[in-house]
Amino acid sequence: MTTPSLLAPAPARSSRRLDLTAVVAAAILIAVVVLAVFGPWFAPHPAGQTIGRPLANTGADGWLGTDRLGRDVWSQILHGGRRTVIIPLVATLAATVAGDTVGLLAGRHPRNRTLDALLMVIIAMPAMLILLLLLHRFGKSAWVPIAAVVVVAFPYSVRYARSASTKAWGSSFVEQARLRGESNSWILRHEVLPNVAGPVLSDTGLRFTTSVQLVTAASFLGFGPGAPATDWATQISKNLDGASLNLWAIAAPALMIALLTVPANLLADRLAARIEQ
Amino acid sequence: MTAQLLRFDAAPKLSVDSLTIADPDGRLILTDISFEVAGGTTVGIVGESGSGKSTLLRTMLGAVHRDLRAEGAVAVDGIPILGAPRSTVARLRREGAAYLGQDPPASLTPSMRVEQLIAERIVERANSQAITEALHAVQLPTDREFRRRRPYQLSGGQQQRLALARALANRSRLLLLDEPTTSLDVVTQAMVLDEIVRQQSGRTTVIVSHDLAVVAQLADWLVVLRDGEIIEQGPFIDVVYRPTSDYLAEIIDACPDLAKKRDQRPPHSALDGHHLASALKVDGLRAAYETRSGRVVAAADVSFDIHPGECVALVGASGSGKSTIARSVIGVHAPEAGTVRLADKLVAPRAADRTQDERRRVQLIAQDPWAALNPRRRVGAALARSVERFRGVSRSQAGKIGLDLFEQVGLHPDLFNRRPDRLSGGERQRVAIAIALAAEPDVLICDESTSALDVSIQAGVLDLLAELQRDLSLGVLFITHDLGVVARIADRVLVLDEGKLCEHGTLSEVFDHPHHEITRHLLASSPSLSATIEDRSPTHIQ
Repeated sequence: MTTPSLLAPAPARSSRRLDLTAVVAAAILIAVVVLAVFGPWFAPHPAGQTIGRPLANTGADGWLGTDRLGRDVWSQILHGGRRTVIIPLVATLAATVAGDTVGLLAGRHPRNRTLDALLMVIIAMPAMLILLLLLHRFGKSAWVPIAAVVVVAFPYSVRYARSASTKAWGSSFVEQARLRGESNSWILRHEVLPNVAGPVLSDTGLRFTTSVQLVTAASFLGFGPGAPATDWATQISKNLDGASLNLWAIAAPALMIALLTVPANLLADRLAARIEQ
Repeated sequence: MTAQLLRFDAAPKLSVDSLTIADPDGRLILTDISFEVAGGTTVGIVGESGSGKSTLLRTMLGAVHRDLRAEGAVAVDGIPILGAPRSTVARLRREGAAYLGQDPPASLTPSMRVEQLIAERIVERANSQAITEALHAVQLPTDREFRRRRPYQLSGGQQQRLALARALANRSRLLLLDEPTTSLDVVTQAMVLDEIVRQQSGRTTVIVSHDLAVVAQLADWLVVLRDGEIIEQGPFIDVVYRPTSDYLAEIIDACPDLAKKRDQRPPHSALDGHHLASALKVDGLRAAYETRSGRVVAAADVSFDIHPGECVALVGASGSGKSTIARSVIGVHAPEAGTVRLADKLVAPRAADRTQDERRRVQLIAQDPWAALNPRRRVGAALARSVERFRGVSRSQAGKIGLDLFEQVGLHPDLFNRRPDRLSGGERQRVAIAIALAAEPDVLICDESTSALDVSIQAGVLDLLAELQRDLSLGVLFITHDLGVVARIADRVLVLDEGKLCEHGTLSEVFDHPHHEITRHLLASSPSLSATIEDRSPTHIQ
């Protein structure tokens, strides 16, 4: 007594479809990173060069107008990308590689509290304080914010990777691996790592966003690179007063930051979900 | 309108008429299901995992997953449930029906007190009298102190009873049970079944299970489900006595049954004399483990041995320390005292201190086929790795041997490159056996290795183990609480109670002349299909 309606072919399964979100996020992210890295080479004007009157509207001088010192906004965006993109990127990679390594190893000994105590010392200090202190002491070199982000992000990566791997370390398949005489490093690579790669990757996306936030906040507060070097957050902070004259002087760098962090997060989540499948 | 109707005054009639359910791909989950349950009787629905039996039971609560499409009719006391308005369905669930699923204690919110858990389900004013009656009905204490307790302050058996009391607290006359005893050991299972039998009178009951022996104790009417279709149905005794389908005959045969003991073989000592080397010899083992509530002695001076080609069953209730003994033997649990000898050679207590060859000789197949396999590794790769490590062959050769092992345990080569989540429970357990065999062990320890499987799948795995034991001269230590399984596979039986071996003998010695009370208790608790049928059969059947 089955009716045709019940036997009608089903709509295509969503899992088999191309993940549009991931593709769009990846495209935006790649575009922003390429723009940031290679931008200075094809910027219409050198960094810091005045090309017209301050805070001119779009169209008159350059397609995004000029900032408060009469510099081309578009050129400034292209020149400021490297610091905004590369510092958090390098710092996040360094912090997660180090933090995840320690965390994956620490997952073997979930009851060991010594590591926790050490991490707590860092976590207890406000991230911004660490960054400003280092900037104040060691100057405005790009390595200073990188070091600060590594120090700040490291404990969170450790804790995340450790809790993600604890279950795998205690599993009966790891016990079996020990019983056939596998080394710890083999077990880590073949039994544990595949089980934590997804969550750890998605955590890395989050860490990156936090790093961007920290570095841009410091720049916004005036601890950015000295002129003529620039970054997107410095541009926002310096042009705030002129928002009513040329909105693009702050909207363009703000948009660029958003186009960096939001797709990075989305992509990390999607990749993690793909690994989990 | 339906306000009065959903509190049934008498046990309601239940009818399912031409019920068909399909998933979004158009695959049929249930096909043209029709049966009726007279008021006050019990229907048992039997089928293996994936046969659609849980889906069928849930339609009686008006619950059909929103992705599924259903046609046909389900009615309780003439009130249509399928496609009924939400208010009717809500009233049915709150007032009309009692439902108990798998792992009943999991339905108890840990932060709520006994009285709150009961009061929540009482339809009228939840006064003290009503709570007392609900607790009394399942033989739980009714004093104030008990009612103030929280679920974790109750024993396992009390939790089971409380879950049942909670389901029945709305005084419904329709009781729906979905594998309520599947995760329990036989002793607890017997207790819960007794309780359900006591609650059956004046109620219409539907029980879904893969275990015919459980259904046999309750059901008046039997529905056999396979791949979403009814294969056979009728009065329980008639159907079971004269199954018309091969499938039902197969299920009846697969049911572990105390009364169906394997052919007894002569004990090895008599056969070969005492000088025969034992594959495994455990002497004076003492082991304990820590729990939150304190130290549990798992083994107090336990000694036994296993000869090649012999299957020894280690039997005991949950928590009697069986698994800890197994873990001590393979060297992942540190015993306090005692020695382990493999092939008459003393080995170190810790696996890490044993040689690779010593580790090879004894292999464990764990309880849970889901936890034992890495979800991120292809099963073939895991198997090949085990071959590579224990047989010292090249990787490509290990792959070939792995495929042979796959065949030996009855798995299709197509499954070789799958991840564990794409295998069924029975297939996973076969993979686990293949991985153990990769080591060419002398002794195989099976720790409740089949208790998570459907009876029909379990029978296949048990047959495989028996075959391997014979062909490879494997010594097998089979740990279980299910004496029906023991009857099928064991040569000798060890009964464990509170860490002590209280009984030891050949299968027929222990089963026919149990000395210890624990053994008698376990034997009495084990459901036996043939014995139940014998009890229930009317005199006209000889």
